Amino acid sequence: MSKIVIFSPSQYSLYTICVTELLRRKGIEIKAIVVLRLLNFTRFRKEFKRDGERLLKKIWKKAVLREKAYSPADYETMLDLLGNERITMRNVKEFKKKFSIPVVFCNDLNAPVVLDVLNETKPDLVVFTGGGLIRKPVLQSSGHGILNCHMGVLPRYRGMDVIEWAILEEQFDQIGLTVHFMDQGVDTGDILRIVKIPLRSSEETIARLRERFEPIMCRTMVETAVDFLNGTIRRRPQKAEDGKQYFIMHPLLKRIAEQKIRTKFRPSGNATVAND
Amino acid sequence: MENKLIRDYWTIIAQKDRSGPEHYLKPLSHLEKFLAAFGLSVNQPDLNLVAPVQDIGDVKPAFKNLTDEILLQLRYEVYAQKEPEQVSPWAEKLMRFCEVRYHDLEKRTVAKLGDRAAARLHFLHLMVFLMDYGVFSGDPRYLNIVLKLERQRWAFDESAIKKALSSRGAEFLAGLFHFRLLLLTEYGLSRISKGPAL
Repeated sequence: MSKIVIFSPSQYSLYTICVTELLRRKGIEIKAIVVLRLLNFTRFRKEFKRDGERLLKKIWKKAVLREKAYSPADYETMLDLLGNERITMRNVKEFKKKFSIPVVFCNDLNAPVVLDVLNETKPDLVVFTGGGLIRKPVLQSSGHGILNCHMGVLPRYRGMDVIEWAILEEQFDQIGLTVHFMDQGVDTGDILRIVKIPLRSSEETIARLRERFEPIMCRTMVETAVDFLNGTIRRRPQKAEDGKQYFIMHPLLKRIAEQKIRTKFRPSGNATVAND
Repeated sequence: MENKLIRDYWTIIAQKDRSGPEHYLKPLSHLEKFLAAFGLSVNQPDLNLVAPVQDIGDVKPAFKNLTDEILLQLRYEVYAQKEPEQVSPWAEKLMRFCEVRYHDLEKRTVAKLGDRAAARLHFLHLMVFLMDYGVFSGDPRYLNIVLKLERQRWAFDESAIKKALSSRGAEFLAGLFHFRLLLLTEYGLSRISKGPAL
């Protein structure tokens, strides 16, 4: 039986809960869940430097509103996914109570305690569901490596806000997700699977797109991890020159990107395309 | 394109002598195309085109190694569409530096230059290079970083452009850099609103 460790950005992460539970149901042995502490000044400072004031919105949505952040939609949301899969857990700690899976809290995913967990459990794979940059010692202690699902099509769109960037650059066929191994660069590790997700209509907004992507990310991550562990898909290295690194988009450009969905996008009715 | 502020600032600038010592960092070089987009024209011959300054082939692209001479050389290569393999590593490195070190840029620039006024001019010059590279390469990531850097009030203060343009010396040069940045960001925003690149 394959063994994995999960990295989680917060004990309340619905994405972590879904990925962990679906992997467990597929017969994967979850050796431990490593969770970043929410009330952690170093983490707040680091993420505030990166995200600025939108970190506050993120905390409000993910840690305070949680399920209340979702309103009914004509697409599957993360909350719908939980309901459809009959997952009732709302806190990562419940995995310990229900299934005796160790849940280890830390202030940084590169901390010695994380290395201890990896050295003790010797996982085949680590599944990353958020929590910042990972350094070499942890990368090297993670079996085949650490899997991440990036909300963009690699190798072209690396970094932050890549849905927005693809729209701004009118690359409407370059919107989607990529499951890849993490390395020391930003989204430069070997690719396992790319799923292109077409915009549905000129009514879509970037916020709705992100919400629509969340359950697809979850399912894609689980299917890809299982396929990799079963040996049915292979890693494809990226070339540095095949893509660019993007950063957080300025609000003025974000507004232009939003307008472009309405003015430049023409629905073609494509179904979701998955490329291994 | 229409922008009353740009038109007003240009009216002030156009009345001034463009051979003064304040022009040593060539703040108005190669602006014809962008002025024309706003229906403005250069009414004096441009005596201040950026010319080759130094060979930077051996200098490692990094903010700590960046000087105004290197910026002038990079801008020359951008305008002349020369040596893209030399310019793009500098542009990419400097853009990333500004993104990643955004919150420390003032401290780092003042520490490097040792003087606040010099640091401000150097930083404005860096913004000018990033914006020039963006519009000449078409890459909107450079417009993005310049829009963010325009929030660094220690260096860029849009509300003080008119006063700066009525001053002399370093303040006037800063005013000219501000004008250039304003003109090019407006140009870039207009281009990216209409198409996929700047």
